Amino acid sequence: MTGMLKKRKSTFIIVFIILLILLFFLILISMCIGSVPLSFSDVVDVIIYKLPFLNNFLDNDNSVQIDEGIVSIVWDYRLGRSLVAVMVGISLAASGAVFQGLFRNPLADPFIIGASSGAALGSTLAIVFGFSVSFLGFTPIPFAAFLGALISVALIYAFTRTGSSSPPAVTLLLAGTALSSLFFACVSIIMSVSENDLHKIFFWLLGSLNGRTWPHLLAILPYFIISLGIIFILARPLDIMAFGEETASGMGLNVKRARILIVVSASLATASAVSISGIIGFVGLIAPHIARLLFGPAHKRLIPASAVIGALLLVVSDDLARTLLESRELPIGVLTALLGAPFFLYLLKSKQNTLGGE
Amino acid sequence: MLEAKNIHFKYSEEPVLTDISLKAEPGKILAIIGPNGSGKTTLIKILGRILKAHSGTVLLNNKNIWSVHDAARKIAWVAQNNKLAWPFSVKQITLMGRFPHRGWLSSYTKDDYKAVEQALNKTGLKELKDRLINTLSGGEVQRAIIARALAQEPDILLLDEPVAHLDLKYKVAVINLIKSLADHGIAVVISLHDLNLAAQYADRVILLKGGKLFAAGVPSSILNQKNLEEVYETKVNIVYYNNLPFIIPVLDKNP
Amino acid sequence: MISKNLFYVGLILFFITGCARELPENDLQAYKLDEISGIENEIVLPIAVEDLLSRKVLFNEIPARIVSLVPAATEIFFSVGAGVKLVGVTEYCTYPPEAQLKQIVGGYTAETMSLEKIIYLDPDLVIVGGEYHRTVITALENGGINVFSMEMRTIKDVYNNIYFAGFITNNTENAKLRIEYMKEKENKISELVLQIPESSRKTVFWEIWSEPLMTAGGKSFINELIEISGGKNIFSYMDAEYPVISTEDVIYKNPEVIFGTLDNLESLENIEIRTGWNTISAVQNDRVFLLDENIVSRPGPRIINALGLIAKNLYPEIFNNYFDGEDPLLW
Repeated sequence: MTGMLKKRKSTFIIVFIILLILLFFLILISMCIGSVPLSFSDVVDVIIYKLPFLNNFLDNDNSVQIDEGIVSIVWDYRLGRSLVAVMVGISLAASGAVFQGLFRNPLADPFIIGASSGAALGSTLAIVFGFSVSFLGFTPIPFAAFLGALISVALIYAFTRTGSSSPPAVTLLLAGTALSSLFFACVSIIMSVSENDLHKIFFWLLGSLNGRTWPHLLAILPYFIISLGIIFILARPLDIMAFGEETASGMGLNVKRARILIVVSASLATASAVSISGIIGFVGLIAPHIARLLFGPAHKRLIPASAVIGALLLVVSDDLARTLLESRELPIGVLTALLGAPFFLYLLKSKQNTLGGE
Repeated sequence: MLEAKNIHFKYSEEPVLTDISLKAEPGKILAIIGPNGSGKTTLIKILGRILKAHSGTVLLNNKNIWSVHDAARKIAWVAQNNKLAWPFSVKQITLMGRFPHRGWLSSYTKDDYKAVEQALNKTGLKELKDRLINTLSGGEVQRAIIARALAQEPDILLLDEPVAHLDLKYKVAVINLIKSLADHGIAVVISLHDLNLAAQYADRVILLKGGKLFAAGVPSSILNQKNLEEVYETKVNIVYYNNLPFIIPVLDKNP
Repeated sequence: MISKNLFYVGLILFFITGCARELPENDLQAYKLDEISGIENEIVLPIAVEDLLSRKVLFNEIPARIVSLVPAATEIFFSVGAGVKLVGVTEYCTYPPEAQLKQIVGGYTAETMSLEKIIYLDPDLVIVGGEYHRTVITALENGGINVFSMEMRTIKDVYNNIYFAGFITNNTENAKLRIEYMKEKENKISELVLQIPESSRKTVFWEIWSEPLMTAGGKSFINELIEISGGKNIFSYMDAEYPVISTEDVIYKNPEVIFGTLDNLESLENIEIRTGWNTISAVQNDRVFLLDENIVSRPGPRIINALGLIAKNLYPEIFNNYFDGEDPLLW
């Protein structure tokens, strides 16, 4: 009846570490699989080549000539890509958890106040108008998506402010829904008159990590660190907000400050994820619920657990996306749903009392 | 302690409270009563630093409550409806009452856990501490929220209709709990719509009508037929038991 | 009374059923497109022809007003001298330039076509693409207009449709000349390729889109062009037209030549700065070529120019020798 492992701190830490180890091994496995058939020793050779200090631990003949192409495949397009998947998974899951906490709504996800529609519109406009400004390590389209996401959230926030107080959660939610519809309608209009660019626009809307590697990871790293940093200190305020904003303020929480930090950090995390991967649905909704069912609702555990689960889900989904069909790539959003939904339904069935929500 | 002076409040142009003054004393229960819409909840929120009055002041230990930033260490406010978004356990909920003392980041200490234990004991929830709140009965939920309020270690406890939706058994249990808290020295302000409870438990009563202070004083003198018939606009009979008034509404059997 | 109603009912039924322009089964024998190419004589009407969607279309007269919904088909009609008969085209029918002087009736997909406009132009023949134009086909058929599909997938399809276009518009001679010209170039390229030993054939990566990374698979006409030009498409084994692939496949297969389109890539730099692409032979040896989208993506008369461009970039010295320095862009 109680959240499976919520009681004992040591149990939580153990399980959490197990999940981290699992993630680590999944990443190693990702380096070994792909549309190109490489042998395990190829992969090991690349790892040693890139991390020469490992030679001290391994009995390896490091006079082997290594093919630069193979190095790039393993290091850039498998490891690099998997790490991008990890970052995107963490960002979406953490911001999903945070938005669920702010809105006290189990259906909230990272896109609830319009970040995805802003990113979609930004990237669509950039594609169609051939926007070519690169900025701060972002290539043009990701940059436009990033800006679009931030601008749409800022618009919602500014629009719903009443006087000097920050807007209540429900208002944000409704305004976000309305703006999302508007922006997505604009995207549809643009798509119907820009047949040439339909493919590219679809790619953004379906989400993909095709070609994503170190440069993309580095471009969003600062925003990733900042947003995750803020999110981690929001653990207690988010717990308190479960009582509702009035009680929370009665308990001494500066609700306005908490709200602003929540919106800013979660939107920044979402914007940076969407800017490199397009819109990947489901992860931000499901990972926090899986975490809550396994570890309970206290945000100090929920947020890291969601993050790890999000990372796991995305790495596995991406691995499948690029290996299920010979040489072809599937859209990753399809796989996150195919993997996440059944698992979640199973958990739900076994723990019907503990979903939560208003 | 806690004092309100000449409080005025309105929602847009509608006046909700007009010139309300009151004082909460340690160890005493002050009951705010009146018909629905008379401003009881708003008044409690203003006292609890949830809403800000448009004019007038609320003083906490002679300081304007809005300049006291750690007011939550002294005042605990319990809402009328308490529905938590997520299924926390009783213990977790109670521990959240330590937030005013620890803030966003400081770890909880032995003192915090001690305060939690005391709060759970006082509310009789020790056995239920690991139960999830969505598995509890109405009365148990209410006690859990009060436990959280107690964990704040407040000098002043504000409760908005704490027993309105509870069964008789839980009504009695919670009210008795509140009484014992007052007996321990906490100043309690409680809004009630059950006049008889107010009569039995309150040390002082404030009767509101249309946002105005209609009468204030001890229950036996305030809760009389004249006042009640005027405020509630219906006929009542008063019966005395142990010198306490019991209000019985008159039902008109003949049309 | 009853008989009058029956008459009206019968009339309505007649119109409903009679409006579809597809040929009833036991009537004129329909010619397949390659059979048309075998007809040396003048056209004899009426004639039934089977289009690339296997629809049997009946022609009772020489079409005088033609609407083309396919840019490649527009080019075909102009190339056989029937451009003057075109009354409506799409906004993507950009070649020859005169085509843009015609009425524009839509874009690419079926949803963008203005049926109103098409009907208003009163055509006696509308050229459509493949299944993606199905709603347009049905609508026009119901309106009693002749619809013919020209979704060309191979060079042979192109030759057959050029011949058909000439044939049906009484420009058979022009068609023959055009086809001869194209075949001459094609054959010369094939000869040239025969001179190149199997081991010296260049491996090719053809980039259709960069995000996502999309290439021309075995089922695309681009694949055929690459093969005729003596190249080896590294993704020819894929049983799809335009699959999305991962970068690692491209790096691993290490193509000697990369083709892309100017539209999509804008500059060579965009390929060269990609992580890991500097390990690819084509990038290291500066054998990355960007071509004009409108020539290489349209299976029409200029397919021969596309072929020439590809062959020239694959085997420049041999090509220049064979073709005396001709520029395939000018064919």
